[in-house]
Amino acid sequence: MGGGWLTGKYQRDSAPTGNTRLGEDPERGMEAYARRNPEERTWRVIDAVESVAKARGVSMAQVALAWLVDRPAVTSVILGARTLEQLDDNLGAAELHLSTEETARLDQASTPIVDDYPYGDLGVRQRGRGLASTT
Amino acid sequence: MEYRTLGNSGTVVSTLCLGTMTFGAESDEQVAHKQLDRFLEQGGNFLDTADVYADGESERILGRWLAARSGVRDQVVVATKARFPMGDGLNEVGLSRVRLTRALDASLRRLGVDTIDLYQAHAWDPLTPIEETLRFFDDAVHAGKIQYVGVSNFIGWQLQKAALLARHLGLAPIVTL
Repeated sequence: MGGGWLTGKYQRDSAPTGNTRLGEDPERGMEAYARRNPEERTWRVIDAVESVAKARGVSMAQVALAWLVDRPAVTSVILGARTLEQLDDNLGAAELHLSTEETARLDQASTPIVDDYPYGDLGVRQRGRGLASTT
Repeated sequence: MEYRTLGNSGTVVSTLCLGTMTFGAESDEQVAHKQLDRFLEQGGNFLDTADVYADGESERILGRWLAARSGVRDQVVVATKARFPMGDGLNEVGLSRVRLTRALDASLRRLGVDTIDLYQAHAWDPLTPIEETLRFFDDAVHAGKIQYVGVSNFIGWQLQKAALLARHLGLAPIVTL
């Protein structure tokens, strides 16, 4: 869940508190609050997950798990919970499958930005090669 | 619950796997055992732990649950891992043959099982040639101590190198990435 981020439990510009991973240690590793909060991408992803979840009437955690379960090459997704409540919520993703459109929306919000290092623009262009249609 | 075959293997696992990093830490043994029971009730059969989780306590908690539930061990697929420090000793960390021999035996003991279904390198080890690690895993499969090999937290080139080398050297394939 991105250290809890994808469950929607953390708020913008509001230091996390309480019995949560970042509530106990806001500076924790790559999930650290100060690191993620200022990035637009963080909130773009969370907003997309939230909107899919609301439209479907399921929890954000379930949407996140369902997206991951149907990614290419994924067999199984590891979930972890402190409480039985969280576990039950997570297990609710068991038979949830997102539509093509929902998946595309989440993909778009979350696609990582790949650096142009080491070959700059030319290097980026040589990563793909399309074939022109003759018709 | 839905099921799939694990990677390129024939073993069937639930699409949701229960992680146990909180066992012995944020979740005490009672809660952990309830989670395990609930997970099984809901059709889950795939359990993931690691030697380093709560300093061995996660494996011990899982081990006590497996012992307490008659017949459950054969109904579940148990995965664990090694790589991170389990002590201050120079060789209580990493993916060397010396380290993993001890780490695997310790995990088998804590879990109280005869074999680990999926044994994973918990991270890349920049100090150990990956061939050494892959050969250890292969030996462990032949000895029946582990069934499948996996890796965790490897980045692109590390995944590619490990997977192709295992194939090239005729060693047990990497089943999970």
